[in-house]
Amino acid sequence: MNRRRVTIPMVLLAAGSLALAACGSSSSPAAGTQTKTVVIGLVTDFSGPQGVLGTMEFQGDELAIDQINAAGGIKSLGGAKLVIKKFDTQTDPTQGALQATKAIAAGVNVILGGEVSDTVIAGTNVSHRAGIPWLSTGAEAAEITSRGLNDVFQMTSTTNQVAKQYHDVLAYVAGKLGITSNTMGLSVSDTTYGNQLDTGFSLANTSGPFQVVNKVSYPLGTADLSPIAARMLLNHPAVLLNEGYPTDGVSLAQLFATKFHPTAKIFYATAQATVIASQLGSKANGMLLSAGPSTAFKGMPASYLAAAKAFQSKVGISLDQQSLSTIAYVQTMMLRQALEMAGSTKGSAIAAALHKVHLTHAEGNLYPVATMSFAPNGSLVTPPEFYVQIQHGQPVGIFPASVAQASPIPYSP
Amino acid sequence: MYLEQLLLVGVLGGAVLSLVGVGFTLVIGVGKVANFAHGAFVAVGMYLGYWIGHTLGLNPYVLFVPALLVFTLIGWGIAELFEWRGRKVGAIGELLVGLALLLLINGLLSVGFGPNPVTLSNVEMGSVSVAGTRIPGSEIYAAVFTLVVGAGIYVFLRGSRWGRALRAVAENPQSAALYGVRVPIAQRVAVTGSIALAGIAGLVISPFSVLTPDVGTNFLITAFAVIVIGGVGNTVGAVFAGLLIGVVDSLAIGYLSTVWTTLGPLLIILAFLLIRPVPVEI
Repeated sequence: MNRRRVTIPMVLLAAGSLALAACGSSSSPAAGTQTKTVVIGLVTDFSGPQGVLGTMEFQGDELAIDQINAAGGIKSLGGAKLVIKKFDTQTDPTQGALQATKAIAAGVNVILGGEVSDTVIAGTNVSHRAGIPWLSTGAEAAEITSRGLNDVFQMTSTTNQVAKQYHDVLAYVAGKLGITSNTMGLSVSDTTYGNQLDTGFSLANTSGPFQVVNKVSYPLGTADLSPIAARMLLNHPAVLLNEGYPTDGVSLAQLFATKFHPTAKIFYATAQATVIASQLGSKANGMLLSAGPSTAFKGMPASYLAAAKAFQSKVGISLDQQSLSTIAYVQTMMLRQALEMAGSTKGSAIAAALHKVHLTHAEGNLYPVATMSFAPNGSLVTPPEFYVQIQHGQPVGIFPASVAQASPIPYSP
Repeated sequence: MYLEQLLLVGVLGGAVLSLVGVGFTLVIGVGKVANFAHGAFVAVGMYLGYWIGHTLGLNPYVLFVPALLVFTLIGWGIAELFEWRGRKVGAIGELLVGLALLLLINGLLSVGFGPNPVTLSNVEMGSVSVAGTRIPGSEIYAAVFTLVVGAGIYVFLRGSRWGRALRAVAENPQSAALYGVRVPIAQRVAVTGSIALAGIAGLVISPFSVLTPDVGTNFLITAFAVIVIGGVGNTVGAVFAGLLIGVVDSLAIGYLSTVWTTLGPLLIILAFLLIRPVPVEI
């Protein structure tokens, strides 16, 4: 009898201790000899049309995690190691909420990832309710951080920020080329993305210097952009801007190179610089394109050069070709600083700390800006921006001036 | 000058639509199959042209005849597939076979060539400057090819015994069979011809097109518009319908508010359906 009276409280105590240990195993330094971990859920597209992007994210995250763990983990959490669990959203926005729910059920402390804006928006609705912070890696919609969710962060420029960057780089190039007539021919993809860019550009251009003389929008999937190109060129504007998808940029560059005689001195369109260079070469000379960071740029921080070397060694691919991996690396380093500051794996503590992060080059900031930090709404204060121009058939960095390899030249297809 | 430019751009763009529409009207009108994969075969032809130009370094037109033979063989195989499996499960089954082929081809092109848009930049066939626009020789070739094919098929359907048999099947397969026309063979010929035409059309337009794996889906939608306006089974009608859509689209973009760039061609289709409804029996 005595034996039984003693055993039940002991069992209850042991069970309670185990439960407490399980709950706090990822966070409590007092969890005895058990290996402490911070579990990161990587909720992104590993399959479907954008599947390759998820892999790029993972490679950047993994490199950062390897370096953090090798350096002793999160010191304020007793050397807790970072571990990553993958959740595949399959390039399907309906998977956003589902995979976020699975990640939370699996006990993740924080969520990283996301390419398709709708997926991230759906997923962050779930993560916010559960109090788990989410750092969106590649999705651009302004809604991600404009909904007032204090534990949602965005590592890429929003469409408004991108449009402002378009405006700034075009004004910079126009100034460098001494263009006095800033008439502009503008084409806009008639999609949410294209229209948001256009709204942002109009806002940035409120006080000039560009005067839009032709503006034409076109539906998604327009197979032949010849009439669009013709309308952009009406009245011979000095600047040509396409606010659309990479396919549109390639198509317009092709049309300007082969069919039309643009007298414009500046042409910007969204497209991959490597694709334009390989497809059109010098026929796209002077075309402006956005790009990721590159070891070829002048003035890139030593942290980027070191990370590029480590990435090449680990993955066998140049980091220059995977700007998304760079973003993923930096976001993981920002997370580390937040965890160190928070000293806890509680979602609210991590989110509060993320708002205070100022990541320097020594701490893993790979971009030329001095520090990386979040604005109160969760978007980046200074989103990194790089622009290249095709010169002699190859992309060369021209903006920002601090990393420029060459001065801008006029568009001359 | 601007008007001439838009008209020229419209005619050239319309010629491509005509080329795609001619084959589609043949497969629906005579083959009695709504082959949803029609546009995908155009995409296959485009990527074949890209491969010839990019990998082999040749002008895609040099391999026109071998490509035609290959697409004819593929077309016959697909016709057999429709006959063997599609027709046994009715019109819906045929639609599903076409849809499955469309998705399969899109996926294979994406795996084979990647999701990025690609273009051929090394095909030099000269150019002609008209109304301030430089027209590449390849686009002129494509426009002439369209007219020749449209006229050729028209003459074939009107003037030859085989052509009359195909028209009879298009009008009424049961009656045609009573008159001794071997309907299944005629339908196979129509499906084969349309796929061969789709593939070769893709090859012809590859030097001046931007290629993406799903480019065929866009062509499919346009091809439907072409047969609504041109008439089912009417190849000459398809040629003119393609040109009309191209020109109206170009003028709408050039002169009207951007809202009309989307609505303009659709309103034309609607007007044709109201004024001259064309029954489609598959």
